[in-house]
Amino acid sequence: MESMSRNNFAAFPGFLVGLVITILLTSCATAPNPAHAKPAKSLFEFTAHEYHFPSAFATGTERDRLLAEAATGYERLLRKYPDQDDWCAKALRSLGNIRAEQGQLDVAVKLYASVAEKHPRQNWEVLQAWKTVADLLWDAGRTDEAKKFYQRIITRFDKPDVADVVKSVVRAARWHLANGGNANS
Amino acid sequence: MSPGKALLLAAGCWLLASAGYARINVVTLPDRDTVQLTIYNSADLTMVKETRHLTFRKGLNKLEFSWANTLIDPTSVEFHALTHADQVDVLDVRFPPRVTNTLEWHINSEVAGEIVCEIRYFTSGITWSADYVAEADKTEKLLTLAGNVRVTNNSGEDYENTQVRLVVGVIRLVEEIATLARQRGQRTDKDRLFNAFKAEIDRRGSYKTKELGVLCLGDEQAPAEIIKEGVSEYFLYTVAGRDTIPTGWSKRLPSFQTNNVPVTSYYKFEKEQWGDAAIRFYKFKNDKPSNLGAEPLPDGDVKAFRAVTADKLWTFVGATNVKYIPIGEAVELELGEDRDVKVQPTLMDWQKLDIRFDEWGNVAGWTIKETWQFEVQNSKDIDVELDIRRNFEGDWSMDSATKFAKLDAHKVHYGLLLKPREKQTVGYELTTRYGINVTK
Repeated sequence: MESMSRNNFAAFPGFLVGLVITILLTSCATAPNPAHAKPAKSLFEFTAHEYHFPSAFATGTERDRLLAEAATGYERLLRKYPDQDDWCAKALRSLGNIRAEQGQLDVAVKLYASVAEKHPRQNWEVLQAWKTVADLLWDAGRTDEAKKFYQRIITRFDKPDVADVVKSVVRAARWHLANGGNANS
Repeated sequence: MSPGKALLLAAGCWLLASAGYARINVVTLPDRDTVQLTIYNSADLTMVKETRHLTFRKGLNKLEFSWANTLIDPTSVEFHALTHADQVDVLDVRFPPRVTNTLEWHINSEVAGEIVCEIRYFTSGITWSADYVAEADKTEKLLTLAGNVRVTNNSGEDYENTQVRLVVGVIRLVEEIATLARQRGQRTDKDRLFNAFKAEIDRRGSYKTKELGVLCLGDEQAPAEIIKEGVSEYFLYTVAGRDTIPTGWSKRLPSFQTNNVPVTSYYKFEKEQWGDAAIRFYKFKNDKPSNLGAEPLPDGDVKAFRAVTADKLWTFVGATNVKYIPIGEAVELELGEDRDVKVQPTLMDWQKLDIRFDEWGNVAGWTIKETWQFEVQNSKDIDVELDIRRNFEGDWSMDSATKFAKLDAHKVHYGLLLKPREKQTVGYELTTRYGINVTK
């Protein structure tokens, strides 16, 4: 008991320091640095315009190269500017799009899912990410996994005053939930 | 459509739906039939309405919309069938990973054939500004006022054959929309923004009648004319005719031209405001008797000219900027110095009088008497009205052989009428009391 108390006592400052460091790191990671906004935007737009958009119109090895370059750009943005919530959400979803295009569906699913986990305030990005991953899983025949994302869409976005495009997404999510058994019909 | 800035991507083959739906038919898209821009300047917000004649096949059809490289707000995009509306349904909206910044409508049609569809959305990056040209006749009694609107497109998207509508006026609703627009990063507000904007613009029946009237004009060669409509607290101007406004370009569209606007031309001299120069003003009223008053005039730059010969050789008078002019309000254009009208003040005499001392021999009161003379010259070949203003401080009184009016405790004004090439002299004696000499 004495030993235990001593151990607890000894462990306490370490725990406290760890807690303080965690709080500091968390606040550093989330507090947006205004000086990062412009370079983050530039990096995102450069990556999208130079590599990601053209990859949609390229084929073969050129397409592979452009997708790889785009992925590198988005990963760089996520590393360098983690405080830029909106650009990171966009980059993360775009990275999901690239992995999906590269045939890495499971990696893509994790990336899409992490958009809402890491950037919950970015409604439009969250909606797109959930909808894309749900449709990808649905199309791959993984309907049970897809339904979880459709359900999330309904739970979060089924509100009376949402925009037309959101209403359509919610309506389609309902359809998918109701027609799970007819996935391939 | 600008390369890489495709709004709607066309396709024309049969696709097999991977799951969920049966066969999906991809619609072949023609160019836009009509485009309408409604520009809210104060919010950097433009509502775009496109109509297209789309050929649908019976069953499921797929339509893509891309906002890549543009300032289009994707959360605001809407698709509506204008014909066979009850037989055309948007079943799904997808965000395909193969193309970024693109959404894909899955549309079920109960009919095969051509359907008129409307796509509308918000974009930023389109602005407008008004400017005016005022041409005074030789006597400067009547004015021809022409208004123009310059639309600048930096939205990233070309708009061909476009009808332009402008929202003029700053009101509470517009301010609310502006506030929401500034919060555009927070997407939840976009729904409110779009709905508020859409509802305000669409809620009037008169607008639709006017719009149809404009659409039916059919004369693309006719000069654009702006139709003005009262929309509660603000005005909606519709530029008649259509024009193409590519991204990165500005287009100047004629707004109106009104002849025979009564104008008052006059000059002001006030040293504290404009130094030693006589400043020319044109004044007119935005009302019916002035052949105006149909609508408020948006703020903008004004360039003024005056006819100097019978065959209308024009001379530049000056340039200024006017604020928003409501109906019924007078507007005063400050056009700068005119060297043909001169005011030369001269201090002719200065005396310190009536010096009084206190019991210790210090100066306790005194009076200053100044004699001023103004030489006023009109070198023009027309009559000139001149308003001379003088400002005085303290306990002052004034004597003058010329009639003057006291405007307030510190300001007097002379109103003079000078014939062509006439010189006049105005004089006054100013007495100012200090210390114990002050009587007021």
